[in-house]
Amino acid sequence: MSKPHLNLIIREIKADTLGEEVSDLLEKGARMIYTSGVDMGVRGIQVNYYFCFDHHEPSQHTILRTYLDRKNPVIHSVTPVTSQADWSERELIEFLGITVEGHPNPTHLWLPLDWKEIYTGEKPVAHPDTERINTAPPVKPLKDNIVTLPLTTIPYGPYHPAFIESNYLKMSVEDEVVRKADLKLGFNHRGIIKLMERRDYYKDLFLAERVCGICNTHHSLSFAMSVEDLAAVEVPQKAQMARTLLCEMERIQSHLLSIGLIGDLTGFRTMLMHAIRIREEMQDCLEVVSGQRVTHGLIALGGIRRDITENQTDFILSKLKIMKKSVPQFFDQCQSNDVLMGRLKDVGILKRENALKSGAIGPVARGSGLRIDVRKNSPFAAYEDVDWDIVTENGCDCLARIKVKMRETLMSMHICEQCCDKIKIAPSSLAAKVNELPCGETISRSEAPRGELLYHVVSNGTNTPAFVRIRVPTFINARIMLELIHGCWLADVPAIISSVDPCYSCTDRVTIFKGKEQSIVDMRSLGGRR
Amino acid sequence: MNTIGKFKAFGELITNVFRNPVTVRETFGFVAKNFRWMPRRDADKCTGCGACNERCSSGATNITDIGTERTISIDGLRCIFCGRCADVCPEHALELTIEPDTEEEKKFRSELLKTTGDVGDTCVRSLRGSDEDSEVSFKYTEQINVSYGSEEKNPAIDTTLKLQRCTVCGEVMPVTEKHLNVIMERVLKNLKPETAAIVKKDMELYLTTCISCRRMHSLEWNTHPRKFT
Repeated sequence: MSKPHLNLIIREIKADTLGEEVSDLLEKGARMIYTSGVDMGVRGIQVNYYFCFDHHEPSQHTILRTYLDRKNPVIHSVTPVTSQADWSERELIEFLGITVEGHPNPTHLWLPLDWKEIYTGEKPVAHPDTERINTAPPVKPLKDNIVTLPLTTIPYGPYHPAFIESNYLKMSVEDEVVRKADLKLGFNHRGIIKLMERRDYYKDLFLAERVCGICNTHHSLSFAMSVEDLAAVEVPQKAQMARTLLCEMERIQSHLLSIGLIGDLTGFRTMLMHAIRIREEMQDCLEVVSGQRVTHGLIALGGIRRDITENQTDFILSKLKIMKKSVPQFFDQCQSNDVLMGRLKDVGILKRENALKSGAIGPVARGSGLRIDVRKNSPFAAYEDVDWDIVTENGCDCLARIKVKMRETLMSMHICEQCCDKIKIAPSSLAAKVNELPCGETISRSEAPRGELLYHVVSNGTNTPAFVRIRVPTFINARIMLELIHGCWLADVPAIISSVDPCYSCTDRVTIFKGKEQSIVDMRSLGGRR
Repeated sequence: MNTIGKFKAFGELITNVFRNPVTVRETFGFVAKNFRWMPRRDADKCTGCGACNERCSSGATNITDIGTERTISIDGLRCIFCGRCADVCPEHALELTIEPDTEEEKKFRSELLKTTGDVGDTCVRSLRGSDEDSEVSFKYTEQINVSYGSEEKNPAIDTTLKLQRCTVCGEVMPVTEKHLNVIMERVLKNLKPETAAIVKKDMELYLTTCISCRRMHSLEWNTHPRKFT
């Protein structure tokens, strides 16, 4: 099996010419994936702009790189050129202290609104008599652009049934139309990227797995892929097939859950229960193959850790046979429900041009008729050897996104069957040995259930990576979700959220934050309303 | 299609009334062969080399040297059940399976297998439905609770091994006696018996000497005449 080669061009440019270079690349048809910043010490702050051309030519990637002065890091914003850089630049502002000139909305996204007071202000002093510390929130009203608007503000979260994870969505509402919405993240922040820098590659594999619960195989797989690329190791065929199988099984269970959640959030809870009942078959399969239901831990550097035996593949095939009956039946029932279809149709319309412009990925892009899928565009694992095709819908609304997920589930089941057959006849070697990791850097991408996943791993020749940067699908799609919420009815908000299916615990780990010893964050200060 | 779908949905509701419960208690519902649970260390096999401690990604394994003794323990609450320690252990002393430990458990497990039947080697099939089965499964969970959940028995089972003393200066080395013996046996096993007899003395001296003593005496030892046949 020939390993698809990843074409990566790294170009170092001056910070002044950045805007021209970026618009030049975008004119050529590139998609901007991410912007990351790393403090490199003496060389200054390294800022990387990741571009990919793979929806035109397979496996083409470019990184634009600049170095900024550490004492006075100033960069000109490219957000006016492309909105895809919006959140990444806000991340630079917050976590590296870079001044981004000309950014349209340089507000806090992850850190609390009064974080400066919390971390740089004076420590609260105990009262001399009672020895009590005044823990009341600061009296000074916090700056928040939404609260100052002459509209009604409706908060969702931090803990709200419409969100599975904790985050905070604030909407300004006029009558019942949402005029403005803003998201605040950072409740699940764990500093995983920073932790990766001081653990060796084998430990990082398990750490990457714990970024997200529901797409854990994709996380560990992309980390393993980038390390294999650094070490120039050829992964055996059986391992490639097993990885493909595991990814697709995970996609099935993730999609089934997200389809069920749509029903739950739009007031059709029976649908969730049925989705979970059907999903249980897939969870059984995953448990048989990997031993565990959630964190599978099957992927190793250079291959897989445990063999997939013939008995196990037979078990999966028998379960798939049951699912081939029950899943289309379930989808039929969902689509025959007029109330549900009425709530989803023509809601949250993301037109094709807008999707391309804002850099939508995953089912969101495919629901708008874009053929964007990493599995086809820059194939990884064994996706080249399997018969399948990208699923697209032209509806552009919530319903189209759900239909994409439904058809993708069926497609994944088709892929799983082929993988099961091919694993049986594959040669039995499981993993190639990773002996040495030379200095170098690579990116690796994979298609998680929610969209593409980007890992940028830099090795400095030691047993720990120099740095790791992760871009998760929700990072892009959640911003698009906010755009969709603007101007829609308040009652449609849960439908839009669930159709985009954001995963915030993935997104929150991106942040790099070296706090001081005092790490108490007043939850109430995040809202900014008292 | 809509009307047909509605009828189908109605049929689904009716079948739902007679369907067995989908969710069952995890400990007995479905036990896969690869299921990874509490790491169990075979104290007889363990040499205290520290390979598991080095590779553990969550810091669950602990190795502490106090005086002339080394204690090896596993913190069950920190363990993430990744199974890396079991992969890495050179003596295969660690295991992360649900395999029974005590005699009683073993007996019970075999009974359970008889009653439920085995699907190939992959799994112990789920117990759903009849009362007899639930009784059996209840027993099974009880057994597991006895061996793991009770407060008296700490899940972190410690082993203590003696540390090696340097044969030259007499200081304590950060290596256990057992570990050195195992290494020696393994090396000598691959040699011819005549060669092994000659090498053994040198190896013993070399292994049981601390690093600073090795440095001091290295010249002397390197010039020491050896005869290999």
